[in-house]
Amino acid sequence: MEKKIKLEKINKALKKTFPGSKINKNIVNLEIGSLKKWDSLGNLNLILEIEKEFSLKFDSNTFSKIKSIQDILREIK
Amino acid sequence: MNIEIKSTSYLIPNNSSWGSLYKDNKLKFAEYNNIINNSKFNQKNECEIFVLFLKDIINYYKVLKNINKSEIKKIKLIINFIEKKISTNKKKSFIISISSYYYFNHLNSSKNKSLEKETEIFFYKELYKLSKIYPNLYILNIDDLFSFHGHKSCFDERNYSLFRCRLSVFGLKLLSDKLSEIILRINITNKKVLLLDCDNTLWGGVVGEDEIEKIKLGQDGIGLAFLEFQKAIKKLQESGIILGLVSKNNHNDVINVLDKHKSMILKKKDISIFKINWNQKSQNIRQISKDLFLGLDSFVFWDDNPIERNKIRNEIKEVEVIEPEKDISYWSKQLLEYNGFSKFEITKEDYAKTKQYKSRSVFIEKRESSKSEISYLKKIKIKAELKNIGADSIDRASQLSQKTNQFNFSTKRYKIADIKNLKKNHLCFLAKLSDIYGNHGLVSLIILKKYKKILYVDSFLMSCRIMGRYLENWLLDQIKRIAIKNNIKNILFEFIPNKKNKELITNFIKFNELAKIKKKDLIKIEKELNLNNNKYAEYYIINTKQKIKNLEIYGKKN
Repeated sequence: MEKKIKLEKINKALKKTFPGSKINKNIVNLEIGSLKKWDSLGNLNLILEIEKEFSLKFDSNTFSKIKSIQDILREIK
Repeated sequence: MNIEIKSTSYLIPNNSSWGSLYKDNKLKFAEYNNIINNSKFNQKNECEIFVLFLKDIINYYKVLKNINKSEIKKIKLIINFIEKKISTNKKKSFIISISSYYYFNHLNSSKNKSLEKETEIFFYKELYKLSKIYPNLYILNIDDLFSFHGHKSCFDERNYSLFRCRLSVFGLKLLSDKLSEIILRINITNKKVLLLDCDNTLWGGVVGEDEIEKIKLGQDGIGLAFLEFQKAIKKLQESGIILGLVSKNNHNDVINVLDKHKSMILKKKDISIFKINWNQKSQNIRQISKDLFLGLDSFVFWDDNPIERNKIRNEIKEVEVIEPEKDISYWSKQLLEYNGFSKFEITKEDYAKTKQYKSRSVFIEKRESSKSEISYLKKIKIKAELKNIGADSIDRASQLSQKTNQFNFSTKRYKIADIKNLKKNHLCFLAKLSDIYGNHGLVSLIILKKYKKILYVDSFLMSCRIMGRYLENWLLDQIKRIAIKNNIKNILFEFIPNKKNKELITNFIKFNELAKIKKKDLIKIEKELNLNNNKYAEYYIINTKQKIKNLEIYGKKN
């Protein structure tokens, strides 16, 4: 998948998970803690939303490693 | 609604899967796996939801032999806790949802019940016992809910090991959707009437054009699909849903099929309303609503013809129009899964509804078609009688007071205990009615308070299903007689108007020429008069000398 399309989808998931937060145009460097609501619970909801958006399922190991947009980009092939 | 959700599992609060419940409610998730603790917030909650996973409760990994009793004990503890909560919070609703699913090993369970199965059966048995006692308890079987979509897509072992959530995001969504449906039904009553087309809806083909034997019903293929659909309709009718035929046919053609076709599940006696004519369906439906005192929003319309469906959608927005599946084979399932008719309980009155509304429609039809209303009413042998409220009828008195909306002057709602108290110092009556259409039973409640110069009508109400017989006038005459007997010259009516009672009561006031009077003028007549301070209340008075109309129906002269 092209990086551009990936980022668009990730952006969509971010907006859906953190509807009240202002999200910069450049999201590549965002990580847990970057947004007010992106705490551990927020992280959980974000990853679940990413799974929905990309119609995939991370295994337990991968899921627990994801903490940033970079991690997500790396794990989505 | 303020809702608190308690679960043995982590349920990911704030996840978008909960959207359907968040939409109309305020949700609070208690700390998970802490269900037996009382939370600080529970005062404000109107609803408490328990989401219980048996695998979180029982130690399924232990050897079956030794632990049965101790595991059952855990369930008992939860049941006791739930009962204690429910019995002390009768205004609050409780929804208990349970899942016993974890894994299936069909070889192991091919000879014996598994521990999971056994505890599940015990749990449900105890819960349903409670739900019989407490009307505010509702039960949801999560495993049944998920079975349609497959347990594999609803449960999620990964989510459990990562964050102790038994469910997948999809499972959470299904749970949220179903819970919000239950909550909606707690707050809004179900639909009451199913209006059906005939040709190509109850059977295949067109009566009148085809011979009666040629319509498709009962035979294998499409005929069997129509038969199954009729079975589903019959099931609803048995649970108290009123059936009506609204179809463009010759009346006799349809009656002929109902009477003579051997495969028909629906018989003439099952149908309360017949509007089989060439009029616009919307006109027929409005007429039904008016005749039977049923709101248009209690109607559901099922017709195979998309043009008729669209007409109703456009002309009567309140009526729910079903979009039937393209393949008739799925209609029966679609109707039974439709939520609009679902209700938590089937009461004694539900069983009598078909007959009740049928007799009302026949009464209306005959009255309309006779030349003179009064001479028709004289012919149907109406008999009315006032009864004192006794131990055998106090239930009915309270029920009438609680449920009657349209012909009800003051809409004061009295419980059994209230009526017992009122009876001590005031005059309380029920009225009984019968005619050739049957014995209608106790249909009216009147509560009168005596003062020196005024007979104050505290409650005056009448069931709508017998409207059109001028029973209200006979009752007014009875009240007048009681006043005369007690040497009181004025009868005072208190009318508290609302959306539902306004039309019928206003008509009654006009028809019987009741005179409006101001509260301050009332006190001039009767100093001791004790009226509630309802700012919407209107007062009307009549003198005992006034003549009351239409009493000849009841074989009386003025």
